Order: sequence, then C-alpha cells, then structure tokens
Amino acid sequence: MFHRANLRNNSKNGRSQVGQNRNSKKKPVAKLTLITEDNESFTVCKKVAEMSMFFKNMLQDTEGIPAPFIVPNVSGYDLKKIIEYCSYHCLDTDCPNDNDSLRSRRDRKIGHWDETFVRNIINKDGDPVIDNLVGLTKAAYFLDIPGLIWLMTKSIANTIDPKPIAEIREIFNVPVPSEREEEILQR
Amino acid sequence: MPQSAPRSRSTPEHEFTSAFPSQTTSALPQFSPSPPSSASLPHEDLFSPPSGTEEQLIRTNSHNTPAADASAESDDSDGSSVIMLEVRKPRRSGSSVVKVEDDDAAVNKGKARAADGEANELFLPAPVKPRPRLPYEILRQIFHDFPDSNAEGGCTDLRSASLVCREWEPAASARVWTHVVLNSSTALRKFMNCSRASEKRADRAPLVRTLDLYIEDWMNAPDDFTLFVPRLRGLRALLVYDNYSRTGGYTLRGPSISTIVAFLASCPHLVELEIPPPTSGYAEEDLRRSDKIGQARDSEWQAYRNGLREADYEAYRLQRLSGSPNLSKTSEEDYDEGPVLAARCGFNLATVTESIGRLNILRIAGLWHSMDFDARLFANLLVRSVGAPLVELCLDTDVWQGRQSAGPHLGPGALPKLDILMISGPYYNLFASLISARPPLRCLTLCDKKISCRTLRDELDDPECLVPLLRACPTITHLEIYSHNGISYTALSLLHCASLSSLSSLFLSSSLCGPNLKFLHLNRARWADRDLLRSISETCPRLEFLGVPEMSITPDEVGFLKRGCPNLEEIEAHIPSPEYRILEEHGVTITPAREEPFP
Repeated sequence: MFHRANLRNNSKNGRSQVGQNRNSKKKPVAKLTLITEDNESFTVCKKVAEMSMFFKNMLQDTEGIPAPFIVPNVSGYDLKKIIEYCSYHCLDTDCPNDNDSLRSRRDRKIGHWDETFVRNIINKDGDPVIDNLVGLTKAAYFLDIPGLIWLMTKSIANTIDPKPIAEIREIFNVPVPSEREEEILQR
Repeated sequence: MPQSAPRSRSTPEHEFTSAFPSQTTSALPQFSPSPPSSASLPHEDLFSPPSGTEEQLIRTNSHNTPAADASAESDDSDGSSVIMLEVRKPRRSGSSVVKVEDDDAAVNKGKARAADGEANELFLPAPVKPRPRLPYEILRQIFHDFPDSNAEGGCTDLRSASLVCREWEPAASARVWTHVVLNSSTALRKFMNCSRASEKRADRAPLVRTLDLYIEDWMNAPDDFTLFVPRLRGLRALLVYDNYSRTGGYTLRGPSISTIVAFLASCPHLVELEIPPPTSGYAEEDLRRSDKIGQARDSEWQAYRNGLREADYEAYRLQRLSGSPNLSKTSEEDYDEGPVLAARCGFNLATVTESIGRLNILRIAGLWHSMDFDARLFANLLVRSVGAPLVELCLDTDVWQGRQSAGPHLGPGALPKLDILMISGPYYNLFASLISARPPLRCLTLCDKKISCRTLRDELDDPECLVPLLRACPTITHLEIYSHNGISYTALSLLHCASLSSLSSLFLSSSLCGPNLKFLHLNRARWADRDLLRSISETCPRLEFLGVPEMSITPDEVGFLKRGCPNLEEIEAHIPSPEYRILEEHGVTITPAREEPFP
C-alpha cells in the first residue's frame, strides 16, 4: 500500500498538487472538491474536471460548482493519476478526447508523455502492475474519459499482444482452466 | 482496522485446523488470504460481479452475516482465522515468490494436508493473488486495435486471447469474427459449419463486418452458401478476389449471380462490393453451345430476349409501379434488361437496385472467362444502379467487350462524392454519362492493357471523348492513362493548366508542362525521347519521382534533371551498373528498371 499511504500524506491538506498550482494564479478559478470512496479529497479546477464526461454532464446539470462531491467507485490512487492525466491533456488540442476521433485514428500511437505516464503506473515497487492498469482503466471508464480509456486499453493490449496464452494467464492471474473448460474454449 | 489484531489473540492452532476440514467446499474459500476489505480493492466488485468466493469473503468480513457465522464452529474462531491470515499474508507484501493457484486447488490441498495429520503445524492455503477482472466493454476496446485476420501472421493474438478464459472469449471472438478471411472453398465450408454448429455460434455470423473470399473456382463452393448468406446480415464489405494471378492466367468460374444478389438483398449495411465477373449456369450452357457457331450467338440471344420481352414487360410494369427510386434511371430504350434478368434469375429488382444505390465502393475486377449474357447484364445492372454515395468505381475487367451496352443515365451532380474512377476496358458508354455528371474526381485511371481491343484506345485518342472528360473534371490530381498512342496533344494542353500532381502514361507524344507535377511515370519512353528530359527539367520544378524504365540515363542527364527539379529524389531507369555510384552522388535514389509486365 506504498503509493496509497504516500498519497494520503499528500492529500491530508485536502488539496492536490494540481490545485496548488492553480492557486498561484491571480484570477480565481472555479474549483471542484472531489472525495473518493476511501475518503481522500482532491481539489481540481473545472477545466480539468471537464475532461471527464461524467463531471462535465454533472456540472452542466447542476449549473455551477456543487458542494464537495463524493466520487463512488474510484480510489484515491486512481483519482490522483486521473487528475495527473487530465491536468496535462486539458489544454492539449492534439490529443482527441472524443470517441469519434479516437475511433477514426486507428493507427494512432502513444505519445511520449503518455508513455511515461503509463511507465510510472508500471513502476511500483512490489505492486502488481496489471492491477493498477486495470483499476485505472475501470476508473477512467466510470468517469468517461475517452482519451484515457484509449491509452489504458492500448497499454493493456500492448501487454497482451506478443505473448503466449500461458504468459497472459500468468499476468492476469487467470487460473489454468480444466481440460473440459479448455475443450469448450477450443471448440 | 482488524489488521491491528495481535497474533496472540488468534485461536489455538489446533482449533483452526480442526475447523478447516469441517467446512463445506463453498464455505472454505472464506479463509483464503484475499484482500481484507472492499475498500482496498475498489474495482474488483464494481463493474463485474466478482466470483462467488470473493463475494462470500467480503460478506463475512464486513457484515459477518448469520450464515457465515453458522458455517464456522464459533464466532471467535471465524473472526480470528481471517485476521491471522491477513497478518501473515498481507496483500501486496512484495513477496518474491508468487504462486498462482486456483481456489479449489488450494482447498483440495488443505484437505489433503489435514488428512495427512499435519495438525500440529499451522496450515495456510496457498496464497491466491487477486485477479484483475476486466468488464466486457473494456475487453472489447482492448481487442479493437488488434490486427485483423488478413494481417501478416493472421489473428494469432486474438485467438490466443480468446483461449485465455471464459470471460475473455466472447470479446475476443467477437473481434475475430468482425473480419473473416477465407482462402478456399474448404475454408468456406468449415466457416459455414462452424457458424451453424450451435446457437452460440449462430450469434457470431451477424458480427462479420468484412468478408474476404479467395475461392479458386466457385463451382466447388458449397451449394447452400446462398442460403447461408442472410445470416451475415451485419456485413459492411464483401471482397471476392479474382483468382487470375493464383491460377497462372486462367480464370475459373466466379460467384454466381444468385450469391451476389443474396448479399445485396440480405445485407442492408453493405457499402463495399468487390467481385470478379459473376457467372450464371444457365447462360454458360447457352454459350458452350453457341461458341461453335459464333455468328448465331447474338441472333440466338436476340430471339430469346424477344420471346421473354412480352412476358417480362408485365412484371417490369408492376415493379415499376411499386416505386423504386432507382428504376427511374432506367430509360425506355433499355427497359427490358433489368426485369428480364430479374425474372430469369429470380430476384427482386427493386431490392437489388436499392442495395446497389447504397454502395460506397464498387469494384468489378477480373477477366471475363466466358460469354455469359446474364452475367453481362448483371454487371451492367450494377454499374447503372450506382447512387449518390458512390466514392470509388473500379471496372477492371473486360465485361461488355464487343457489346453495345447502355451506360448509366446520370444527370449533373448525380455522383457528388465520386473520388476514384478506374476504367480498364471498353466502357465507352460510361464516358458520356460521366461527362454529364461532372463528378469531383481526384484519381482517374484509364487503361487498355488487359485487352487487345481498339475501342478504349479510340476513345482515349478521340478528342471528343477524353478531352471533354478532363474538362468536366478539373479536380483531377492523379491521372493514369495507358494507351498505346500516348496522350494526345489536346489532352496534354489541358493538363498544362490542371493541378496535376501525379501522371502515369506509356509515353508522351509532345512536350509536357506540369508546374505541380510530383510523380511522373512513363512506361514506354525510349531513348528517342531525349527532348522529353529537357522538357521535364524545364517545366516540372516540383518533380520528386521520375520513372522511365525503358530509357537509359547517363550521369550528365541526371545532373541536368536535378538542376531543373531540385526535389527529385528517385529515378527508375535502365542504368548501367558502373554508373550507379556517380549517379547517387547527385543525391538521387536510383531504382533499377523492373521487368515490365505491360504487354
């Protein structure tokens, strides 16, 4: 629980790094406080939050900044990574964040920053890598961030791509199916 | 947090081990060292239902349900055993040895050890690593970017993924089935049998979006394929490849008209169609007979058609009354062809023409192997029924050779999206239609290489035909004209003003001026065309590629070209090998002339 503990220390003040950077600006920026299901709170500016279609729709519906919002189904670690991604990409016009453009650009490659972002998820001491990738993918899926979903699924696909079945099972901790089950699958 | 419970609080070891074998199989996995609470593993049970063991564990730990209590010998032993396991085997402990074991396997192992009388040792089931579960939607997205079946090496990755586990199988299989490539009639038969094997497989056939068929001889195709086609109702692209190159120049039978009609009628989303010339068994029999009497062929056809006309006219009239939009294109003079064909082959003309009208891409490619009247009419029907969505039309075949066939009746703006047009054969009727339609063409290819007929050549050399077409389509940037007479002076003078960036021809009969030309390929330019090089150098400042495979070029000439065309990167020419090094000093890549397939 190394990263979670660290995160908890960082977020004790109730502000993430992103929030602090935004605070240094003179002009007041609309901010949104998010509380994860494990009681970690983050403050993000509206533009960053609107990378998520979930928050975007919510903000449109509420017509203003609501009170601290409890984000179900997302852990503190995942939300921290999501905020890191959204803070970088909210001003990036080259990186599409809608499903149509992502689908049309099938040969799109992972950018340099994104590659480092994914590598940092992977480099956790003693932590199973794929857990974090899958967890973040589910969180991105829940919050509906098309760009991050694409990045995560592409990264998982790259993990699977050139590997034999046994190795894939080992990575994803899938028990070896019984002979009967394997026969059904083969069929 | 329960993790703070001291080890000393745990029940005596014998109590735990004695309780262990008494559990039922379903209750036992509650003791597996899985994550202690739902908070530390938030995703496991949010989007996909977790397995029974995890669900039970969470319930036992967090809520301590009566059922769970009842399953253990006492409350104390139940709670302490869980706590003890957490202390000893915390999640993500960073242990170097990770043992993956099935829950059931761990249980069996525990039972076996208990039976062996290891009561004095504390026994713990093998650690079970939490399994990251991927919901179907995410799995589908992961497999979306995997290579298609037609990629090099096939879809081995997808097949591996589909065999990983039952949860992955539906998503991976769905992706495998979106693009199906079948290389023989045996493969086609297997595919059909596989799709019909079970109800589960029957759901897969509608998932097929692209179907590539390489069938050597459609005579060997399964008889019931036409009946199978309606199952492929989700199809977007049907690509039936011509087997000309495979069979060494001899083309066998193509797919039957009824097969293609079945695709058109039962696949409402079909937008791309590539087929070799179809066949119809009936007409072939006719032709085998009539081949012996060459002159009698047409008269036999005429007599037959006149006989049918009267009976079919009524059917045609009724169909027309039904109000198909494409029928309005049919002029009075050739009214008989479509309905006659529909009556003979037994299909609904309105449905078929409507389906053709939806196509984005239509390619008829391949050599015509017999004089099959019905198939000719059908190919004619395909071309005449194209509609506004058409983007690419490729007629790389010799259908209509020697037969005056009506072209499509297109008014101005009838093909507002037509971008690519390739005509290789005597489609002289098409020219007039295209000139009146004025499509926004970008690529135009006109070629008479496959056939030794004069008609297209005459068309290309006729200033009344090619020149008006070039005038009607000023948007052309890629032009390929393969005519034995080159391009006429009038046509060339038109090209001077065009924003042409790519030109391929046999040779040019006069000097060229292409201010925007980047690609120039002249198959038959010989040594006599030295003036051409000078003209290119002086008038094509943006040229990047020059292909003159039958011309030998000296280093001096390359230097001269490079001065006029500073962007020149590659030359394809006949160059003696000792001069390569000198030529490459000019910064130009030299490609040796390939063996020319052109006749």
